[in-house]
Amino acid sequence: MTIKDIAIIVVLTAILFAQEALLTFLPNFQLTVFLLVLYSKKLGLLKTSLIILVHAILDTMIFGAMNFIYLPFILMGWILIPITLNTIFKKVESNIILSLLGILFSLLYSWIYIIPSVWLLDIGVLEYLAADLLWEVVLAISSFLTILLLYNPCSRLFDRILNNNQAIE
Amino acid sequence: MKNKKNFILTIILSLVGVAILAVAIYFIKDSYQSEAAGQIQIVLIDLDGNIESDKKISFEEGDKLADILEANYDNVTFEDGMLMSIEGFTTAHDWSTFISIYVDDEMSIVGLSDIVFIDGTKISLVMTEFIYE
Repeated sequence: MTIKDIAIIVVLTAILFAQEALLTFLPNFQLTVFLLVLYSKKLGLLKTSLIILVHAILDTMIFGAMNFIYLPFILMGWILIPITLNTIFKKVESNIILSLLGILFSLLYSWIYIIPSVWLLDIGVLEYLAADLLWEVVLAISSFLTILLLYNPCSRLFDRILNNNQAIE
Repeated sequence: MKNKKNFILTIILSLVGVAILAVAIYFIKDSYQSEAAGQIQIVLIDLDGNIESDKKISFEEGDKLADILEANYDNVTFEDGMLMSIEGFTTAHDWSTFISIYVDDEMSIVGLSDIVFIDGTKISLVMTEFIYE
């Protein structure tokens, strides 16, 4: 991994973290799934996994009040995106199909939270799902919309920036 | 031709998505309003299990629980719909202590704004320590 790669990872992690912090006033609306889909397609599994690792630790420290019980579940939920997009969905490039996958990733991420939440709060799975349903819908649809509308232009921008850097080198 | 088709499909899917999002946010923001007048009992219990306050409060049809608390208690604050403080009870910044809500002695699985209350409902606000198991 070169210094340039590390710099890119740092900047993209900062963008990922900053958007989550800036959008906290909107209930469960975030660009995280969109950005992770974009990073996964453009940077591959290893670099995106590093971004997720740093982001999850920062997220736990700042928004999770150092409650590291949730950390492995956050990691599991997000890391599914680069793993699947670089294996079984490697050939998918259509923004429409990626946005539908965004719904799937959002729901999987939400459902992984059932494990620690039910364990810590001692609430039944069905009761938890019923209480969380609307929040899951907001996350899923916000992911769907942002991938649908932003993936293609951001993908082109990403390619242009990476190609410019290669030309400079 | 394919691009045009893709563009139209994107527009249609975006509109459907925005509509679903708007409905979901409406329901999240929507608070339960009482369907008839009555009286509820609100009990504040501290970390040691002592009853700090026990009030019977009358409400009218259309009242919201958050409004009832704000009208009858001091220092009532909410954050993202969660009760963060009431009287001398305050949720710690690191969430080491927080306010649990019980409805008729059962832990509420919904937030304060979604609690359905009728005449005679008992709401207990219990200061709770977060325990790492």
